[in-house]
Amino acid sequence: MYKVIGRHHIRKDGAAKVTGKAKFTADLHFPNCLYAAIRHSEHAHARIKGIDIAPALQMNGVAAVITGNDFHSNKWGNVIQDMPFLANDRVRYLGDAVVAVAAETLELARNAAQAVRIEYEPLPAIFDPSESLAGEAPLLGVNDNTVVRHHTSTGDVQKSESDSDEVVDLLFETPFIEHSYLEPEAAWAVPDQENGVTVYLSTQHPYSARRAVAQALGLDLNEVTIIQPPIGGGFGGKDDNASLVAARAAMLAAKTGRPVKLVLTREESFLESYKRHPYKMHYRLGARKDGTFTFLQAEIIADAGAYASMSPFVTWRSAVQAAGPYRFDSVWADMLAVYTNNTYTGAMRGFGSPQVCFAVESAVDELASKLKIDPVRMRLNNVYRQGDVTPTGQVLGGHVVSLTQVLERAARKSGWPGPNTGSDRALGIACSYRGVSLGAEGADQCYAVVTVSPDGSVDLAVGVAENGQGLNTAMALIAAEALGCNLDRVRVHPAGTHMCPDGGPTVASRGTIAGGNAVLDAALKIRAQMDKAAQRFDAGNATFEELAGVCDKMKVGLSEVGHWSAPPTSWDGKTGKGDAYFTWVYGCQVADVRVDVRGQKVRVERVTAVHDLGKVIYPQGAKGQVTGGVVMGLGYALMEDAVHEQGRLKSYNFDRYKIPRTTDAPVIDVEFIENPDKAGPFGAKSLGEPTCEITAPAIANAIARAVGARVVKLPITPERIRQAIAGGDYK
Amino acid sequence: MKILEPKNLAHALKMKAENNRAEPIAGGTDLLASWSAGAEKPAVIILLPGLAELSGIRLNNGYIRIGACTTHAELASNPIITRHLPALAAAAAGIGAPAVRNMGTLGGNLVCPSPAADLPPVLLAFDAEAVAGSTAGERVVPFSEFFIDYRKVDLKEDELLLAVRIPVPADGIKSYFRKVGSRKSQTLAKVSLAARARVEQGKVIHSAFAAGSVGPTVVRLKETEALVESKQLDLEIIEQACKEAEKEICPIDDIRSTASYRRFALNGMVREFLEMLLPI
Repeated sequence: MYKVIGRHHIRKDGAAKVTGKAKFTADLHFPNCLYAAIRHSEHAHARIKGIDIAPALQMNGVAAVITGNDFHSNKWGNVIQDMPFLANDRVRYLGDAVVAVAAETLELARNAAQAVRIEYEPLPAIFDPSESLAGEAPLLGVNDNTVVRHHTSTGDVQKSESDSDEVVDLLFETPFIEHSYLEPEAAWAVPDQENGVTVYLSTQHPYSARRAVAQALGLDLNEVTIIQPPIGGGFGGKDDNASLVAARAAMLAAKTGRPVKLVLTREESFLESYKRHPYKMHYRLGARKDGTFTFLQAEIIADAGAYASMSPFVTWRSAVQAAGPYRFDSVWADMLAVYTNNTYTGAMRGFGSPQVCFAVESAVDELASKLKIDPVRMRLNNVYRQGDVTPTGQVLGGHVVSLTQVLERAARKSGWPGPNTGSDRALGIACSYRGVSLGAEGADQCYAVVTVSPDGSVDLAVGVAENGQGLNTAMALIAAEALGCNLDRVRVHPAGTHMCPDGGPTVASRGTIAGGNAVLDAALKIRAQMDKAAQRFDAGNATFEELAGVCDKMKVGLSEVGHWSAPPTSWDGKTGKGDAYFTWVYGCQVADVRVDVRGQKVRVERVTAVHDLGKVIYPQGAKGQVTGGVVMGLGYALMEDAVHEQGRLKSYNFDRYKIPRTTDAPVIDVEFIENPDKAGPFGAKSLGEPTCEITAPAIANAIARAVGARVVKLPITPERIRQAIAGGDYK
Repeated sequence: MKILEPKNLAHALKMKAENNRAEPIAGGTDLLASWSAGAEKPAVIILLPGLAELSGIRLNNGYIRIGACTTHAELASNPIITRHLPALAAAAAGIGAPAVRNMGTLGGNLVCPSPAADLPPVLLAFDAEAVAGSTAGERVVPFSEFFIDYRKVDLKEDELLLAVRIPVPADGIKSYFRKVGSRKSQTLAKVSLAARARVEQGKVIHSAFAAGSVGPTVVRLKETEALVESKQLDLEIIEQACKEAEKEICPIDDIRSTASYRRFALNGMVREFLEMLLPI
């Protein structure tokens, strides 16, 4: 019934990307420009006693040297403003930037940055989150070292435990993870003819960067323009740090009146940029003999690192989803995030879910194994069904709760239960429910501006950003479907803060639902005008293009601002209760894994991924999300680990920080379940993150079934499998 | 940095003789990366690419002679290598990514070898020799003496590594190379094993095992070799050999792996090779 959505199309930016025509931020050039370099901290925690910039300033060809004192306001943060653009009184991790230099050449800028004399007084530092709350720990936060604490509970855990026939008690650990976007942070700051500045920025949230730059330079929001050129990936990582980079470049441009290029090297990107939170998770789960779950108790501590960043919201999602998609009589979950002097942690694809999904799904399989119940049957017995109530008191309704559907489909498609336990090959399963978009984190709205020109061509600007996921194609499809025109008539303009009002961040798998709803709103308004005009001017048989021409002649306006505001959500932090998200999505993945008994090396042969995303708008984009998410999840499961030692990363590049390559990728068998949701454009909701949060536990469960021992710490390396078999890691 | 461009090998050797501290550079895959990571750059470099005397793979007098500037990509696909030394071709094919294999050279992999380098175990297992050259002439050093210590080789200040020569393996020799890393490709070895042997009337003849990444340099597993020599190959002797191999290495715990896992994985590889020799 739909004409364009859900069908095969070539992505809008495909040709430019594969032919190399796409110009990424670092590819741009502005005449009369300067090159910038950053000098980073030499300590994980130290007081800055003095900064002498004179030796750098004296160098021939150095145009400007700035410190934290140059900023109008030297505080930044999307949630808690505890982060400086350049550290000027204290450095709190090794990635803190202290000085920025602009010079005629990059080499000169780097040399000048090193010539600055910085005097430090080293302070005691904390690297273990569990030590951060001890009495003698140095103060890293405002009043204490807690960034945030979330708590949810329902029922009576003690009573439910006494009703249990079997209880598992497991301590899970997950590592720091690097986003591994292909393109490191990059900014071009260009002063404009008035007072302001335009920043071309590799960011997934231009509006957040605009706030940061305005705040840093003391400008109004409309004096700062952020333009997003094609971006080489974000995965949650191109937000806070991109804003810091933008502000430093903008300040150097403001000081010198010249365009400034600031591009981080890969090593600087590893050093500065925030990571996915490492979690330590103590889970206890109980069930009756028949496999009915009784209680879940989770005590979780997250390492927030040096700054709060998105920790308050990341850990909130963990707390809300801590018990997985299952009915328990009682749930008690406590989630704590603390400051340390490690690299700060923030948003990364999954946003607090990959950690808890790993824990819950592993624990469920352990319980199943103890009770000798098939893991799929165990899940089917306990997953939420229509109208069930989550631990926060939210009734799951208003949309199709499709856990049973995704589980049954994934099990059948993957050939569950697969080979017998004890062979070198086994299947492992994991499923999840996920709250869509920001939920009760904050104001959730989006804008789009759509204009139909007299020739029937369409301009579209939307308040969410193309991060490489294919968003612009999805937006164009929604506009074309609603307007009744061909896809090739729609041009989606690069995200720019001057093009469209603030649409919120392109995070939380909200691109399609938030942007799409705003586009749909604008497009439907225009279509209504066109339909009215067709009737009035007797142009019922006119083509879209002809009708656009008629509207222009007859002065019918065909330009609209679309707006979407999310359905209501609620949250009471004291009780840990509320309708956390306005709708939910469901997914299930099965990993088919071979464990080489000679080396205990794991080869993931196939991943079957079944996701209910409401409605597929752009099939190749959707498939790409699953493929990318599964491979990222595979890296999380088997190899990625941004090890810190005394606050220092052990690897600053991909030679040692291992991510999967195509040779490690399994066959990925994708299937979408479509239960259209009234909250989404044409029923579409979320996909990007669910794909990435259950791959690791599915692989972990497959390995456990194959070797008969459970690794509770990611990544699951051959060394850890060996240890688990020997009884070392297994609890 | 001063860049010297020799016209031919004699010219290059003269440059090296006149300027012992000059750094020869071929593909640059190691040097460029280490310079950008902050290592001190040499004052003078000598560019080796394009010197005809350092390139080419030839069969000559029972030896396979491989020029030091032969790239990993050439090693992986050259018909002489794939026919006579499939283990060397396999090791070269597993180095880095295509860009590294297209630029990186055999010589570069040998003159400042990481204990985890991929080619040394194969060369050691096949009794290969290094051909070093100076204005005084050529000097041949077996690799068993060439690799001295951690990143230290027997190459004098005025010498360049010219080539590697390997006795053409006799017919019927079975060879093996495997590296265990943290992923399937573009990975550094946690542990690697190159091996060769012949089986005559069920007995193992002239076996050689060389393991990488289990000590400061690549090592021959002499005890294991002695244990299986002229023995009737069966499951029991395989079991003993695996145990012996584990015993005679001294691996360490580091960022890539643990000593215990390295022993375990080496055991698995020795077993894999010897089982390959069993009659079907």
